Amino acid sequence: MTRAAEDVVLRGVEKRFGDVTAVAAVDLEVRAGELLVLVGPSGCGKSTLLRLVAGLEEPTAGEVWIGGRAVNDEAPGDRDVAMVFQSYALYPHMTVARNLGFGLRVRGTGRDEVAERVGRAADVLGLGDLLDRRPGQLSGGQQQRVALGRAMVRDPGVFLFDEPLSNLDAGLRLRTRDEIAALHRRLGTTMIFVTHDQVEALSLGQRVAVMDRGRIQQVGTPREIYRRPANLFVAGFVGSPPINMLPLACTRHGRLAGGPFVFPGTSPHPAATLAVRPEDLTITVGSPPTPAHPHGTSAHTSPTPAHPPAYTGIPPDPSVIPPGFTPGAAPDPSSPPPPFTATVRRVESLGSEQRVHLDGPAGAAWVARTSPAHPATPGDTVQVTVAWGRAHLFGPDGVRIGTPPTPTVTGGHD
Amino acid sequence: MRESVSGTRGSFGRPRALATTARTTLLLLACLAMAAPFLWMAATSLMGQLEVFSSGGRLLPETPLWSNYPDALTAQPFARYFLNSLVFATAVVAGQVATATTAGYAFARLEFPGRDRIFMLFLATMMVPAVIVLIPRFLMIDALGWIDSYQGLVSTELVSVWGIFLMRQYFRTVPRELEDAARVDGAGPLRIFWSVALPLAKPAVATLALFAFIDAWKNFLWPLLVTRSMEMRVVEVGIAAFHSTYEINWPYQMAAGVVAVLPIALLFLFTQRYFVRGIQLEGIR
Amino acid sequence: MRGRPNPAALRAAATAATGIGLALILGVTAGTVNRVRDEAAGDVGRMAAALWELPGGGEAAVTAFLAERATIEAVRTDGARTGAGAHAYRTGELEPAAWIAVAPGGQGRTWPHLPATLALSGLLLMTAWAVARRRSPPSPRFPTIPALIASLLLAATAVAATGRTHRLLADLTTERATHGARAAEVALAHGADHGQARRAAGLPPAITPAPAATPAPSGTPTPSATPTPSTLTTPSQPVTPSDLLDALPGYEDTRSPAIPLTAAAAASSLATALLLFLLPLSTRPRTLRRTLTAWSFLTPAAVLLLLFTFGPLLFSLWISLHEWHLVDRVHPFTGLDNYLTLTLDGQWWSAILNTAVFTLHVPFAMAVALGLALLTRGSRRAVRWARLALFLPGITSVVAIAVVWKWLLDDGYGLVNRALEGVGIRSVPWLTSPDTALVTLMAISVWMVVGYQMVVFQAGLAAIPRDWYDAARVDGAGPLQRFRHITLPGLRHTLFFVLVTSVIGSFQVFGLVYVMTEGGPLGATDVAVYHIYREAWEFLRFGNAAAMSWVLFAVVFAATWLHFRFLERRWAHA
Repeated sequence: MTRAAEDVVLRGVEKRFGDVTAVAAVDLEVRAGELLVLVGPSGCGKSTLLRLVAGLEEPTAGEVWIGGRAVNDEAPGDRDVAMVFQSYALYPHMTVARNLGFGLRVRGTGRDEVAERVGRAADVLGLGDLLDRRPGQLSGGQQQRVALGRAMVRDPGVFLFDEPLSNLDAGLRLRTRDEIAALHRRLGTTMIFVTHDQVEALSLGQRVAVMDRGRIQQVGTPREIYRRPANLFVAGFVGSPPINMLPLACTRHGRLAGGPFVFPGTSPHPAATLAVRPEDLTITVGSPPTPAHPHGTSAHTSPTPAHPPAYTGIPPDPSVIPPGFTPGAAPDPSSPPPPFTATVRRVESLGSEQRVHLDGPAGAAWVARTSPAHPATPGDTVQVTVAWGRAHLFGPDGVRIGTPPTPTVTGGHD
Repeated sequence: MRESVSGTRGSFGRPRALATTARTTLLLLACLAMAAPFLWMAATSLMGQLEVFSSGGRLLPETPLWSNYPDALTAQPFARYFLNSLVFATAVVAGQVATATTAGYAFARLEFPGRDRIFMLFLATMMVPAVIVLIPRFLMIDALGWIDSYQGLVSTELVSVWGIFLMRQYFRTVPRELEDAARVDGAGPLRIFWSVALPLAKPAVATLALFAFIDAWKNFLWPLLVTRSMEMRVVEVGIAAFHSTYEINWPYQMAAGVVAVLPIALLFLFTQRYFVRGIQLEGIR
Repeated sequence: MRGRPNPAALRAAATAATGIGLALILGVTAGTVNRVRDEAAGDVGRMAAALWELPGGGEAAVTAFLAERATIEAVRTDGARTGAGAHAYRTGELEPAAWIAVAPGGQGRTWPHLPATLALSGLLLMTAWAVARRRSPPSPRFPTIPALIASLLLAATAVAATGRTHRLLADLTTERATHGARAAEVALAHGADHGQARRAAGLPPAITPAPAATPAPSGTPTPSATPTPSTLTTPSQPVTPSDLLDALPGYEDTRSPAIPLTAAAAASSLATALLLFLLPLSTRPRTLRRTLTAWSFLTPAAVLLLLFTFGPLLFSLWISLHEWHLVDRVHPFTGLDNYLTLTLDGQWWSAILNTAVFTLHVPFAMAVALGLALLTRGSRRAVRWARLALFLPGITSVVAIAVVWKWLLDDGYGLVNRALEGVGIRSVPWLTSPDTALVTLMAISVWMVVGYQMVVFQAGLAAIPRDWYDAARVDGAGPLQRFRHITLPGLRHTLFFVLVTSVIGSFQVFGLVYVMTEGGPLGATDVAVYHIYREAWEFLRFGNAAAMSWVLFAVVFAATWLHFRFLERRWAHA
């Protein structure tokens, strides 16, 4: 009964509204049967992109292919897609049953078959008792199910979701998210899901496409997106609390430096940005046991970290020295990386974890995500160690260069 | 919560109660003044032909003379007048609803070049006094040989720019996502209009239909011009003709008047809210 | 650049569509002229045939009649001699229309030169414009300028063609009269009696006194049938051309080409505009489909408006430039004469003045309505019950209301005067004195409109936030100050809307006047629309009436404009 899933391909799709470019030359391939999440800040063009796939908007340029057909000139109803809207868009003057069956009736499906398919969808979604009600008499969650059911009944090749969870309260949102994931496993249909919530995106998507200013910034598995952000925007957008950043500049010797860090080797870039996830910082409470060694040699007895990094399961990025850097006097990779000194400003205790807000290197506001087992208090001076193997270096154009080499730490905190 | 309620109630002092009474009295007087002509019409309609001229000047008939009604209404073919008014008003309602909903939907939701300019052009005709188009319309209907026929009466009244405006404003409040959903469901423009937009615009359609009906029922000048025979007269023209025929037979005239006013009064009684909505939609733009 | 309208194609389409429209107009004109020319030829042919059949007639009479026209052979393919045509006619070989050869000047067909020249030069200009390259990028919006040029060209051609047709037909009528006189003369010279001479001239032989050529204005606007032929009173008098002109309907009368011409012009400009619309869209199928869909939704309303509003507006302007008497079939073009006459027409200006005075009831009505709205404020039940009583006058039959008031205000027996007498006040001639009649109508009008205005004000009042009043009260503002500083400014737009719509409405008052006073006494209540109504449907002077209605429009427009210019601006900054 279930139709084969269809793939969706966008080629150079562009959409302008007057002078405003909502979607700029997007190439995207959604594989058949895949659940792809489009995520980005509001106004980034993700909803427009979805509407272009649905046919509700016409591309200014480029082509949309669904299931191997170019559908630019096809009406939305002919594209074999179903869509769930943010406001659910249930027809207020029709009962739930008529809402569910509308798409079939429009296509001239026989009365009996409509009833049968509506009944089946209602069973799956537990809407059996509500069939004679009107949308106005339903709760938000029930309306959401009806909207989902209306899409299911059509048995389309592609499901489109336009922020369908944003009108639900937090608990319901989590549950519905699980249901949609379950539905995807059950039906095996291609699904494109739009959301502005990066947590939702990472938890739901098999692959995630991050959009900003009408362009797709990165497409990849949630893990790729999180661990290897393609550029500064993706790094900053994904993850909560947001990634810690530090601008770096070239020294006279051609080395990248910023705050207490001086990176070995000669940099091909005049400037760069260092980014470290909060869970990749390790904090040791107490003043520096020994003054920092100018070249980070092993003289100092680094205390064992108070706790392991939060994401210990993720292996460090293999590339240690990004291409283009000429290796200089690299620090001994076998020795533990040198810490730097920072002051605790504020501590958020969230129960399972604590977020320590720091006056980071060069005064940048950094956050560390640590275990609550070793509480820090505001005003403490702490030693911070960076898991350099999982840090990122972004070039002046914001594109990821790679993982930085372990730097030397000068002077620590003033 | 409870405290604040009792507090408000406590502030209702004597002066305020007095003000309320004064206000109610004033309002009642105003209503009476407004209704007096109608009451007088009803009273006169039951008096004898000479009784109305009696020197006493009574307010109520000595004995209600109900026979005035059948007598007056058969003195001229009022049944036919009513039928004509009904046919005329119904056709106008049907026409205006059909043209205003389709055009209003096009202006509100469909895209085509020049849409807003054409809409402004339509709106501009609301400024034009009806009398300008009266002469050419009459000549056109005459040239078509439609004088003294239903089609002559109705054809010029089938579109109302006010109605188009009303429907456009209303259709713009229908959520766009509903139509998007219908499009994804495979519905074409006509289907969306018929199955989604129009059912949601029912209140506005009701308002439009009501106003169209009343306006057609009240229309006097146009039916006066294009009807000639007694068989084609509408109530308004009929009463005017009746008035000039039975000039001093006031009870007959009042009986006819009561019969002309009553249907509209009843209609208004049951459809007040649509009226008020229409006027409010018109008043606050 | 997909989907951009192609400017060259656009101009070409405009030119082509205009060309088609022009051809249509010229075709209709030429068709009308040629049809009438055939008819005229037939008439002359009939005269010749009548001469042929005279006892003293025959070939000699026909030859005498047709002496000046040498080309009679031209009709005959076998090259027969003069007179053969007449013979052929008698024996049924030739239709009367075949006497076309005897038509004046021997012109078989005609072509409207002036409009054709105009059209061709305009078309040439458009073609040049279409071919010319423009550097600026084509605008994707509605091609206003080409549509405008095309419409103007079409309209100008239609006007020129109509004028020329009228002149040609008038010439033909005159020529027929000359021929008729000559035919009668020839007949008499060949020994025919007077009756026979008249028949030869195409006149009916009967000598009956006929009614006057111009029917007297009657109350009913019946377009009379073909004018009845007047006849000669003395049989011995010769037939003169003016007899024929009086007696027979002119060729112009057969059918005015104005209507088909206007229709053709309108249709072709519409087609042009449509083509100009659609052509640039044809490169984008979905846009084209969408546009067509939208127009299919819009068509019923647009067609009806075009036919019964926009069309009549232009037609009305056209009528106002003519001496247009309903029963006459000839409507001579008189330019601005109707308007010039109006400026000197004291009665018309007094009607305008009466209308203006009548309009002064609007502020009173608004004050009362605002008072009522304030009274009913805050109490839902009062509002609901008051509404029926207050609203009824505005929505029921105007005629019934007018009749009731006429009865209420009856001089001798009306309730109002009886009540006045009851309390010892002299009765007032409400509707029968020129001093009071208009004021009385104004008062009744106030009574009629307050209910409607009240509801609008109620809506306006409900839209003023309650917080403003609370804040003012906290600031220590009294009821009057609150009214002055919160209610009035808050109602600004509502007041303006009611004022403008009521003024426009009151300029068009008709029913009350028609039933209650018929414009009297002594023209004291003769308002503009009533005056126009009488001018058109009593005196049947449609041209004048149309001109009056345009003057009224100008007055209404000026009044509205003044409101916007002075009131809205001031109120907006109040």
